[in-house]
Amino acid sequence: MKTLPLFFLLFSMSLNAKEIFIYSARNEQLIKPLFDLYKKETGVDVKFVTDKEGPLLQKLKAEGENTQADILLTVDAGNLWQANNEQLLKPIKSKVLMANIPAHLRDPKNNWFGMSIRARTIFYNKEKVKPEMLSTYEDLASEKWKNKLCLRTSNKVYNQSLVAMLIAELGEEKAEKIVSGWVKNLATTVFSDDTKLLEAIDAGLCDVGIANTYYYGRLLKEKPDLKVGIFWANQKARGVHVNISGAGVTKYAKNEKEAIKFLEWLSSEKAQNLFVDENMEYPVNPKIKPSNKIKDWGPFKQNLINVSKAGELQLSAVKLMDRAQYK
Amino acid sequence: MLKLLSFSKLISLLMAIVVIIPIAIIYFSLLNIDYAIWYHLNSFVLPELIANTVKLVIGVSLGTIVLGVSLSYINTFFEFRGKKFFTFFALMPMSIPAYIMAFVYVALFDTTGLWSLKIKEALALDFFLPSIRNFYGITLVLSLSFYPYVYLLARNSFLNIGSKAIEATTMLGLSRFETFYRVILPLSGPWILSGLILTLMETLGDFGAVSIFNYSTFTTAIYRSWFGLFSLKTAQQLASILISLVSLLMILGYVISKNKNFSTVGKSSVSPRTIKVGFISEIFIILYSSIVSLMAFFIPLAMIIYWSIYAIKADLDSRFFTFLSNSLEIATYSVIVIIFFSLTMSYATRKYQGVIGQLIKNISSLGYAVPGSVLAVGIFIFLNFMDSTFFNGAKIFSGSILAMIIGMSIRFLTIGLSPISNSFLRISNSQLAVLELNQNSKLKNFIKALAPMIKVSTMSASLMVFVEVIKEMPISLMTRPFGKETLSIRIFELTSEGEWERAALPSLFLIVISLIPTFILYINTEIKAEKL
Repeated sequence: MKTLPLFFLLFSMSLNAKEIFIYSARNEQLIKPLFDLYKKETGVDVKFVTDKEGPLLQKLKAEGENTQADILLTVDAGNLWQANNEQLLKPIKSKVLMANIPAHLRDPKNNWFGMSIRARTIFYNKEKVKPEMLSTYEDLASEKWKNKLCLRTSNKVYNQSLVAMLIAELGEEKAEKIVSGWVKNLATTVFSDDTKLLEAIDAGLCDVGIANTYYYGRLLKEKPDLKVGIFWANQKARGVHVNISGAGVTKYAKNEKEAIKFLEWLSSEKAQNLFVDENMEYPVNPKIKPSNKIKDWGPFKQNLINVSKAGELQLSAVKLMDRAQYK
Repeated sequence: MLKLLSFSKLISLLMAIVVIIPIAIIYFSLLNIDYAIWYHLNSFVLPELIANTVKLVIGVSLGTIVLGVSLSYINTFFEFRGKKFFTFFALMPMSIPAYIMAFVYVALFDTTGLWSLKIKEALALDFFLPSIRNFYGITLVLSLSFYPYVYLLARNSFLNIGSKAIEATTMLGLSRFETFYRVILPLSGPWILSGLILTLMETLGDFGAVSIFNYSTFTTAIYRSWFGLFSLKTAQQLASILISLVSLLMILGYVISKNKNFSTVGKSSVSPRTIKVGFISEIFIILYSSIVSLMAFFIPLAMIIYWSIYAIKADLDSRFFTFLSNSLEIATYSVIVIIFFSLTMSYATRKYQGVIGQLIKNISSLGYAVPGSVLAVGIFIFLNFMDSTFFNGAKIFSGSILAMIIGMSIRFLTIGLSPISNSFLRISNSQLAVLELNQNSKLKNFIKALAPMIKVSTMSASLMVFVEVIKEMPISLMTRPFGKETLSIRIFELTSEGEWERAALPSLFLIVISLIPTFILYINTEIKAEKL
């Protein structure tokens, strides 16, 4: 039986202390270089499996104390909130993390921490729209954008978080009005991903849309003459909606100390750039400057509402979007 | 032979139990209903999604039947130029995952798709072309993706009807169409129905392709409840409804084909004689076959190659051979396991045509009817339970290649079982009795005598299972041990942040290794057809 040696391998792996295990919703090409570097620097081997957040949470839940995973890594705050809500994480005591990561980008009870910032803002067709015409997410619901707005599907957690934040800020009633307004302004059916949406703005199918900045960066690299501009939303109000890619230590982590050390390292100056630059995201650690690739987009004011609200209000947000017929 | 019978019964029962456990876990969710969420879904989500789903199921059924039956009829009964080519490539769309096909079509024909914009430019239109992302678009793409199931099963049946049956009808003066309509179709009913049921299960369970088209179906509601409303329970309840519906369909299929005799007339291993068609018909046939294989295979393949060229520089490294060999390893083991259980179960249910046998068979088929990730959770809970009960929490079942193979077997048993159990229908009771008596009690002799009658189906089944396992994503993701990466997992990594074009490279590898079993099947069925 060919699988037999594998069992022994797995056994021996869990006995070795110089290893940590990660369940990651952040994909391999964005994390592997980092893990390789960490091994080179510390000798600690970082093992990981990737999957979507939903299944990863269920996996942790089913395994309970038998889990091998020490860290759960996600690409949004909502799912970390949910993991914590299902008691799959444990509090992290770390002065380093507290110092490196601003309060709004981590769990109020320190059960998880953001490691990179993903900003979701407004993009526009440079030939059709002047930046002066733009202001806020709320404004995209106004009559003047009728048949000119493009949105991504409401199935995507990034939009669910955005609406959750609108609820947190403005209350459910106002948020629902805004979302209904967006739906009325749609130029075409919603898109399945941000890249397709940005391409539609580029082609002039729609004038404005909402997307994460790194998709823009990626597309710009491919097509430098893109007719799409970036606009930092809500700068005169509370700031751009930000989400995080972040991590927590699992409740039954076998290598808790090593896991926390690794997260501290991730938030450090040395690792932050490597963690965020590959995907053109923004560092969580305010001491670190974003990469040159995205410096041209200028600085922006972030909304300082705690990102855990994205999880807390996700259910309300999804229901709201259903009521507003946002597909 | 008595020993063989009780052995096969036991094995069938065992497999049914293994399949029923993860499904039962899904059904257990019904004990705990969140009324607030159900009220919400019922008021705002389900009515439209159910209508969408019914429409899609009808559309894709029609599409796959028309494409699958017509192509297999043409390729089996007629002689025309390029036949070998078309017979080979009719199967190949199976190797392209539906979500990749969907992505290609959206990339080309969405309002701002590559070709749509080119056409707009060429014709200097001042308006945008309509998007393919609608009911017709998704129906087309899923039909192109799934018709090979119907095609393959229909062809298995057509090849095995036996030339005598068809010659007899011709002697009776029936026209070609009458022969098709009154003899071939009824005799192939269960085969076509099985192919259709596989198609329906795929359509109902699909999440990837429909989300690329933004066409919301019942499965969309399942994932939205789980990932959006954070209610796995509700998702499982919705999935239970889906499974129950599919069970009903299967019972219906059983009732329809019950009490009918599908045994062959004359030697079943002799294929029907082909007819040389006239010039005009030949042109028509070639044109039709070309359009289908162009749309279902060559256009997607061309785009995949085109994107791969860009991805090769950045992504192709020696690790790809590891992905490749991991995929091959898991697919090979899964094929062996699934075919073993399919053969055993087919034999058992052929011998015991009672309700219980039928029930066991149908239950064992249900893994395919559940949306992948939902089933993956059920399987994982089951495997993990085994580990914590019998192995003190060590990852014997839940984090090993064994876990992957058990998972695949639960999911894809029906893919092996459908064609193989149908082939047993062609063996008459007396034939079976004679086989068992004649070959005394030696299993080896029995298998030797049986083999020619079930060979083609078994090979088709192996091919389908192989290709499905290689494409499979949610179960691979959930059950793989640390570091066991396959091609489909590679595709997941790249598509999870929207890097679809980069995913072309692993997709290309996937298509290339699917060529191997397709080629083996082709050689065998063709040599068989040429024996005449």
